[in-house]
Amino acid sequence: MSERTSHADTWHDDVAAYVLDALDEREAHRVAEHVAGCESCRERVRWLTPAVDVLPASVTPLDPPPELRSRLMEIVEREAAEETSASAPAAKPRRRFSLPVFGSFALRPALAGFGIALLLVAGVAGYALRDRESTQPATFAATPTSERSIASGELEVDGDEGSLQVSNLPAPRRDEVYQAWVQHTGHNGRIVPSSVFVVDDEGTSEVSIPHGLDGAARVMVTREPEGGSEKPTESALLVAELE
Amino acid sequence: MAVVDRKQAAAFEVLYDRHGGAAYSLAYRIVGDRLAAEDVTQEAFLSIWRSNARFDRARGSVRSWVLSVVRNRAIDALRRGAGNAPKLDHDDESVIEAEPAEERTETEALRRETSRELQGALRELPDDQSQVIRLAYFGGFSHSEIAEMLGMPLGTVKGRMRLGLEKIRVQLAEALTPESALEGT
Repeated sequence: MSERTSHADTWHDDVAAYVLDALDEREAHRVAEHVAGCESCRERVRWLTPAVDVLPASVTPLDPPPELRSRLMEIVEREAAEETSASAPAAKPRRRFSLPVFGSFALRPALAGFGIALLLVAGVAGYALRDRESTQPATFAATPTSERSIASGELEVDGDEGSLQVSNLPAPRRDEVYQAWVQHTGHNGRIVPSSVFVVDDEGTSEVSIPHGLDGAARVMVTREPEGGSEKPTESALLVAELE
Repeated sequence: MAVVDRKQAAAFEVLYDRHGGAAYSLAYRIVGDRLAAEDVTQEAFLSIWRSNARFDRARGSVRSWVLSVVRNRAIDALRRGAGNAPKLDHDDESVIEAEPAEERTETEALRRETSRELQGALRELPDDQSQVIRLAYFGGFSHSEIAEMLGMPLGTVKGRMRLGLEKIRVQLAEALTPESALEGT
């Protein structure tokens, strides 16, 4: 048996389950760490991801009820009016966003996949909290996983959302970005992609974690191909433990 | 560039009109209940709206991202509802019969045709491969849960996942452009 065949026998089943989001927490970590250091398996992830991406297209198209659209638009239009009216009191206390911070920006999550990866540039680069009277955000330190790293971060969690301030992250390599991940306590420790972002010249950025923090075990930061990934392809650089 | 900005309800409306149907369809496929699918779809779109996100069309597929948000929310909803386990053999054709298609536009017709083609291709997979993929993707089950459920070794489950995905990759992904399969505009 050749070395190449042996490697495929050892890892390709795991990589397929990894791409399909079907591994439990421990195995997902093990495979992610291997993929991070194995170009062959990274290529395998890239090759298989489109097979997962097409699965939603196999679903029978249904028409959503018109009431759903009406409800959504009612909420959205109300919140848009609140957002544009500086003097209007909020209907319910919640986070508000500051203007973009020059020099850094945050990106929303993305699915990986053969060049169709998504980049969502969050309309705000950093965002500050102004309405805090109704909630009591908790703050967690994000620490580097390598002793040689001077990167650091601070995660502020307010209910299901949060803001991650990172600093001293090295400039990502060409065609790479940073990506935040939320790992759940249940669901077999499922790791959910969150915001994709870049850092400024000083390695800092303020990143929105728009949801998923309620009941989360940890928030991680990895370096990913441009556009972000559906699964971490490298080991975490920063980890904020929430438990 | 399509923009989903907290101040631009009209842009959100466009986003919903383009992807709401696919989102609701996926949510229903996962949770198997129309009211729950409505809740999941609403939660997903509100999370997108409240994330203040801006999408750069030149850099990828917004549909992929919207549907990933929907899937995550739907799986969460499934897990929250302890007794609401996904159907092992969800009959998509019965849904078609229950909801007569109103192919109002060519786009809608194309999307339904794409769905039928993909469903047919998935059906061509050996049942054992199709089953584990459906349980993982639409059911949110881990390989160990599937192994226990089906009474088979972990390695067998992972092997079937790999074989099935490889066949889908070869038969479908290479035949369909990302735009036709996922964007479906």
